[in-house]
Amino acid sequence: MPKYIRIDERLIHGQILQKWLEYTCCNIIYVIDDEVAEDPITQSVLAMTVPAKVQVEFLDERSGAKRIRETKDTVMILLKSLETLQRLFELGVRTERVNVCRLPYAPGKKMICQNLFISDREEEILRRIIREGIDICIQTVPDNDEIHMKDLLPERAEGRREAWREEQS
Amino acid sequence: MERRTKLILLTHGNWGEELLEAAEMIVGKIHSCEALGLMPEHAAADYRARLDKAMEGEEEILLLADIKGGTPSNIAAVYARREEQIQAVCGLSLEMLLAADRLRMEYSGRELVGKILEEVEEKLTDLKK
Repeated sequence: MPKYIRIDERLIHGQILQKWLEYTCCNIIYVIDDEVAEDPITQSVLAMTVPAKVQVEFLDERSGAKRIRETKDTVMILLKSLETLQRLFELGVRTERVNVCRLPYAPGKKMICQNLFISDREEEILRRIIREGIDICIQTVPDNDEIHMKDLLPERAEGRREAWREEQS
Repeated sequence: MERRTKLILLTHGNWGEELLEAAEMIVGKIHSCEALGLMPEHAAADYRARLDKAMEGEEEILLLADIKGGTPSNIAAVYARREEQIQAVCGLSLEMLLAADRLRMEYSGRELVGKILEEVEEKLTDLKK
């Protein structure tokens, strides 16, 4: 089943409603976030904004991963952070491609592209995901050109050595 | 004089400031009104912090956001559903801002919101007919 996974801290908002829903032909959205899964007010606000034909489910990481693995539908999956993506992978979710919209600035983060700021920890997560052959594609709306994360974070020598060591062990 | 509801304009980009200027061209100085633009580089948490600062010390607040489902509107909706004294609407326009500024002299809270929406709805017109 085609899945559209996007990392966007704003979850459901203008770009999703005006552009991505139609472009991806998704009528089901899974918002996967442990905090939002326990926040009925945020859920009610986000659910209010989607068109009537679109169904939204709010799930924590564990039940979200299970739903993604089991669903036969074309689903849009929205996550706030790379950490959540990593945990979904650890919980058995597989995908070929992830869309990243923006990663907001915070102290200590470096800019790798417009509106994309990463911490050292996030960089490690990104490098690991790229090494697994998953395409992390930066694109705000479908009309923009795609930028591939692997072109922004070329593999380092120590990364290759680490991968080699992992293979040997 | 009774304290007026504070108006805060929440928009994509900085057009709330322009809107406020345009409104002042029509009715003169608008007091207790602030525009907060969300720019592409802003994190939602920073935007919420700016909003918190704009609301500091205010008793009654009305948040006027632009499009329904946009981040400014979603943030406004969460505040309004959590806090008794915060009201929020979306669909911000010059029409709405002028209505809000005038009606807050007489109304507040839920009643103010009802009156504003009623008036704005009435003003939407097909001008060819």
